Amino acid sequence: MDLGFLLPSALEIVFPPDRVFDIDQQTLVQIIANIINVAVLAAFLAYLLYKPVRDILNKRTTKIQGQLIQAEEELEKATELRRKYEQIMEDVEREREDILGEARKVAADSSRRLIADAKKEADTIRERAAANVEMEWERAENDMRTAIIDVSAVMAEKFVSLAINKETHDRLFNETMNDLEGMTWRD
Amino acid sequence: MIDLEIKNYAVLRLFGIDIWITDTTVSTWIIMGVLIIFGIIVRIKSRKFKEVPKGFQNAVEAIVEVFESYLRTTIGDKLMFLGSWFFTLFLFILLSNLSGLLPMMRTPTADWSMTFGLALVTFILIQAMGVKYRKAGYIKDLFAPLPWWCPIPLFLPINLIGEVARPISLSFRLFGNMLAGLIMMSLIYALFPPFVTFVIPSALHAYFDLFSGVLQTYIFVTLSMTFISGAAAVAD
Repeated sequence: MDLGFLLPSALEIVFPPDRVFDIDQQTLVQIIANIINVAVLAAFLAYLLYKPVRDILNKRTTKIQGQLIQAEEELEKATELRRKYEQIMEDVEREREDILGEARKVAADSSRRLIADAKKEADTIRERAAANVEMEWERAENDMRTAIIDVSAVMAEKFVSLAINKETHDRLFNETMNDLEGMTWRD
Repeated sequence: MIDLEIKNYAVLRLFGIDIWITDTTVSTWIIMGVLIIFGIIVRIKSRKFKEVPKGFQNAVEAIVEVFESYLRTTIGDKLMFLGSWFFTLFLFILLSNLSGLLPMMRTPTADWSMTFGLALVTFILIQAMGVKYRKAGYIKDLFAPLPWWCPIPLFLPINLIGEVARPISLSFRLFGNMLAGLIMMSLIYALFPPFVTFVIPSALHAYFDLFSGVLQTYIFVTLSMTFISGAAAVAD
């Protein structure tokens, strides 16, 4: 296993003894050289690989967290909006119930009033009709009485003209007239 | 054939100090190169990443997201700033452990200088996070269970040894497991005739490199996180 071809030719080529393990001054030198090598590698890898990729991951994490927070805020807003909407809907429903109740009440009142008015008017009409009937009845009675009187007078006149003389007739006529006059005055 | 020994290719002289360029160094550079190229590809592609990930973007995001989740549950939010270090540690150890599957590469974590180096960083972080979050309370805990003002700090040496033992045990656990796998595989390759080594080692590679490699990566990183979060006493 000869890796000598990988080394720059300017180096001084000597061949110290090969070894597996030893603790001497060269071991200390090797330890320091190895630490420097790995430290240089760490600096390169930090600059080239670890930090840039970590920054990208952190940025993405921050962005996703921001988006999650934003989504949460929007969800809260939407929930609040929904709550408000539901509240409004409840108010509208309540208002609708109130309006309907009021309308029903108004309609019932109006109906009652209309029925009462109609009843009152019907009563008035009935009373008026009854009064008319009474009046007609009285008129008919009067007409009948007048007719009876006339018939009675005619019958009496005929009867009397057959049964009494002129003097009696005049006397009776006068007495009857006086009675009639008296009756009329008394009535 | 797998070499047990760590080969030395060259010596780099820097400020008067000799730095050996070994199998571990070269393998580490190769793994670093792979990870950096992957990082560059991700960086370029990340400019066109979409809101809804798919394909390559999805895979990359899944890797980072799963790791972040694992990190958060283990060390809590307070220590998340250490995420990029643990991410690198995880990927580097994982690729190092799996690199044993490739020919011509010696697993860097089968070198104690590598595992101890990583464990040393964990040790430094344990102490730093302990002092940062618990201030003097962390130092006082080194005297526990006796109070810190007790004239004879009977438990201080034991606690100090316990602290120092952490990186050593952490490093030897990973190093031992990976070296054991390497030794086993090299013995298998040495024992069997070449035509058999095309079949039998694949199952053993699956165990020693793949299964053990992933498991040891998880153990090393999880223990590091647990020690650090324990020192910082992060309740969340």
